[in-house]
Amino acid sequence: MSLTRDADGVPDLELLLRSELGDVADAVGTTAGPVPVRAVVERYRTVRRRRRAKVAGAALCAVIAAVVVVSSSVPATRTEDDGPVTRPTTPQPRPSVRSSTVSSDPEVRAVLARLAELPTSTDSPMTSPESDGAERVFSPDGSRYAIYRQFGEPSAADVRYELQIRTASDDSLVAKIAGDESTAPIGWVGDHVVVGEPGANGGQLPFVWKPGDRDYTRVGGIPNGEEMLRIHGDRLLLVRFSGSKRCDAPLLDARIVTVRADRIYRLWEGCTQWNMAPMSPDGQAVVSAKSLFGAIDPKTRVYRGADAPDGPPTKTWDVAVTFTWAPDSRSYEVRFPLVVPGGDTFGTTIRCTLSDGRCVRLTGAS
Amino acid sequence: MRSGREPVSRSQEGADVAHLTAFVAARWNALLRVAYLLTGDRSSAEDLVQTALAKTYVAWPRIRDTGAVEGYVKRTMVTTYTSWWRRHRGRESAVAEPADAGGRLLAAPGASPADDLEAVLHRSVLWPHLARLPRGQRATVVLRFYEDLSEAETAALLGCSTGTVKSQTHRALATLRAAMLDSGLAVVDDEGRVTR
Repeated sequence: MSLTRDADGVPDLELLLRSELGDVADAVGTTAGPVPVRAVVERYRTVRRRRRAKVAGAALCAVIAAVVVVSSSVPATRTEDDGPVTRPTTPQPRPSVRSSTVSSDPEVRAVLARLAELPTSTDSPMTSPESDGAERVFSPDGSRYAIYRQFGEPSAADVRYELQIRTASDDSLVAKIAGDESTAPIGWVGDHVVVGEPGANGGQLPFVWKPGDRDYTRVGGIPNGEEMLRIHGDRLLLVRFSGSKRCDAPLLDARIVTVRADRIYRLWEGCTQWNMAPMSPDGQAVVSAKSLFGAIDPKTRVYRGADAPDGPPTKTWDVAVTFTWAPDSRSYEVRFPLVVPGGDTFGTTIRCTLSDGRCVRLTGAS
Repeated sequence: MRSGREPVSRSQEGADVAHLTAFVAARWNALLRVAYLLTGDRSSAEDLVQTALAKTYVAWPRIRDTGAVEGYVKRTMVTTYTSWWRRHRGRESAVAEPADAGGRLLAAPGASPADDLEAVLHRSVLWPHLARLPRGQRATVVLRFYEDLSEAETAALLGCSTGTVKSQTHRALATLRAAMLDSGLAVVDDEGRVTR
């Protein structure tokens, strides 16, 4: 990992920590011995036996205690000086409610109520698409592609990296530029290739390179603390990790911008959760973390959803959701780590369809 | 819905063991890395991972989402680690430096000689102070800067508020920054200023 440094070559402490912890962990991984599966299973069986013995012992104690209570309970008696008769109250069994359905947070309760209201579907939730690991990033007209090449082993002192542009028809080299280990292409904007440098918060800092130019150009208009989480076509999803203005923590300021050459133009502003990836694969819709039951067209601002665009819940709550877009951008799913009372799964998943703005609660197995 | 106290059948136990075996084979090294960063010691790290896996899989009937297992194991690892701290606080000693199997100071794979020297310098300063951080702060640093979790995710895993995560992170970074400065190595502060 290459550290971001100032003009004096001084490293940033957070980046240094990421680098050092990563390097140490990598070294631990490479020097690890065989996986001790048998030892783990034995440990598991030992803990399970102890747990069972403890539960059995507790049950025996409960029986003995119940016998003692019954045998010692006598009819209440009173004298003229005594107050009203009272009897020791026996704790009543509480209704069995899963802990994840219990919350004093009014917003969480509102979400639970809203989830319970949604129509249900027996469909199974979709699985998150795996990265296809594609190396070739094609230009918008499909005539060229950008590819990232490494020459030499990563451990070699003379390892080098290149970003290359080749023609799609015969793979011939059109242009190339030296890069480093993080200069993989992630998209095209017109005739510029977009590459991302790792940011301090896990996002990326976008750069563009026009084949033939001598260097990369950092995309302007992105302040410190703001990083790119997604790119779809010429649209970038930017998230501000420090100094949020619109959104209360733990939500983060987010915006979708379009890129023209090396400048950005704002399309949409809202809030997101880290890891939520609210922009659709085609970049034509976005879901705000403040209103997860509908999506908005960032250009026309047309909202389609099961609720009003500004409600109901999820204004400022910090329950992290899992968010998945269908590859065709026609629907998305949100998995809430909350159990609708009466539900029998760990968490509740909804699917919202953009064409009719309808959301359903999925009850099929994941 | 099955409750946690319901007896577990042998077939269920067999299924749990099968799942545990597959999970361990797939994720042991990843979990060991995190445990090593927490404990700073190979044998303690292995013990921590084994303990967390056993605890998690004993609770397996209550976990309905197989995709959540790794997060559950990590959470158990962190809580077990902090409880060890409470029990063993008096007899624990800080680990001086991360050593590989041969006892050498670890250098980044593929580093040039100059980078290698710089990495060893940084690590020789950072690692002992990281090991001396209070366990809550150290766990926060590992989760935030190795696991790349957000403040909210870290808070959820540690079972505390995001404010606590922020303050723990701030204190840990301040301690490490001061250590770097004491050693003569320069760092960039929160405002982007260079201090030496």
